[in-house]
Amino acid sequence: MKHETIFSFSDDTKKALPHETTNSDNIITLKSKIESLSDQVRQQKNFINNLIYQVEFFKVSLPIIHKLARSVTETTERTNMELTENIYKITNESERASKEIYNVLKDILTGDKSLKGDSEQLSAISENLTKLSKNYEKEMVETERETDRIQETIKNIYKFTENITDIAEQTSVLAINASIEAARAGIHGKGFRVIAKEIQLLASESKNIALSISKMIKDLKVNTQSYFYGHVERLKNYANTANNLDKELYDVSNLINTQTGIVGMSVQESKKFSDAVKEDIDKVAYSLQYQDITRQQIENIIKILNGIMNNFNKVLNTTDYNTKIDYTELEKKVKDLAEIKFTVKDEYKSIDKSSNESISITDRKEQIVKEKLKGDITLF
Amino acid sequence: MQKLIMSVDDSESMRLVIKKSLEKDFNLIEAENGKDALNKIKDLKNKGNISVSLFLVDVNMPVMDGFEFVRELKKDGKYSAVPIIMLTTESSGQKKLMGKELGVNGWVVKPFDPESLIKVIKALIE
Repeated sequence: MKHETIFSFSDDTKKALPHETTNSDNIITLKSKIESLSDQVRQQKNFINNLIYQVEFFKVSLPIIHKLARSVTETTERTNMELTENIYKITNESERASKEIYNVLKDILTGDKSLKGDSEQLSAISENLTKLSKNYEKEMVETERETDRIQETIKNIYKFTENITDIAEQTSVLAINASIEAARAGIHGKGFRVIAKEIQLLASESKNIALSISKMIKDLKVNTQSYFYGHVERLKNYANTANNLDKELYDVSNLINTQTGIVGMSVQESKKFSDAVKEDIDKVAYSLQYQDITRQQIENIIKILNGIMNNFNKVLNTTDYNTKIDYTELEKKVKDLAEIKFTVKDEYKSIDKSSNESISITDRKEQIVKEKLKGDITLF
Repeated sequence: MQKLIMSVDDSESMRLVIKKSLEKDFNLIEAENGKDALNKIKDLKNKGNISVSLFLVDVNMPVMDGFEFVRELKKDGKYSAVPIIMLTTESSGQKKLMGKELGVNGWVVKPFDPESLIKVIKALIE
């Protein structure tokens, strides 16, 4: 049987063939080579078909990845927004409270009605009390001295009235003697008798007056003594009260000074706390921005994936290939694969499915708020 | 009176962080993207010709991105010389150069330090 030569060998092939070969051998070798090549082509075709299938798989998966990425950015944006609001609320409240504490403490320390002011006022009062106490003591000594002087004067007046009484008595005796002498003189002593009688009356009145004065002086002495002793006693009491008050004020002043010291330290602490809160706010503000960076990175990943997809599309559109793809079947496969991996309701939305077993992040949050339960709690 | 700063960023939480960081020192007005910012500028002009003292602009935004917004803003005679700071996650030298060529005055990469941002803003507007 004669075989028609349907291929012409290249020079290299000719060289590769054994020199001593028949046509039949050549054909067998060739056939074997063709079969081998055919196998390789078939394998390559399968590989390409598989590759195309995978690319199509990727193409069908891409919208799901898009939806998932959007879900991630939307969820993180929403939670970050709430987090930001809450954190600022807390830090603002904290900052406001610490400033208020600082202002109150500062006011206590240095304001118009401050402890320090109170302490200074108390010191001034204490000084005045000390002066007052000393004045009382001085006044007391002066009063005692004055009392003695008055007593001495009264004593002298008393002696003087005693002298007057003596003189009055002596005058009375003289008047009696004069009367006797006048009686002896008879008619000639008549006028002298009248005078002697008048002198006797005068002496009697003088004595009575002197006795009255003496009694008044006695009363005055008793009253003066009583008044001045009472006055000195009161002055003593005032001085004691002033001294005691001064001591108490001194103690209060010391206590206030101690408290002022403590408040002073608290002011410093409060200032430090206030500064720390401000620093923390800045740190929080810094950290909160990472959500935006993450979102940007996810968007960039999607852009890259889109770029890869576009390149694949260019290749697929310019290549005539016979691979027939059942897109409905492929989409089902992608969704089935995704469904196995998914856990939360938000993910199921990306394949347009809902799951009764899973609760969306939003729903879960609403549920927690509604039931006032914290965390993932299941009750049986 | 505190100066008015316009923050242009598509992220709501980012705008909130910017607002909270600056509100003690400046008045803030927000826009979601470049187009929204241009509309708000128009509104401010109509409401008694209120001026924005500085713009904080994100680069990547939907509808109208930061660069396009800067191009449009520079066409506005009133705002052609008003300071602009790009506040973005973009950190490449190429993008920064683009910003510089467009006439922006500063480039702050997120995350920003609030105190430093305040210093930069004050340096540019005071």
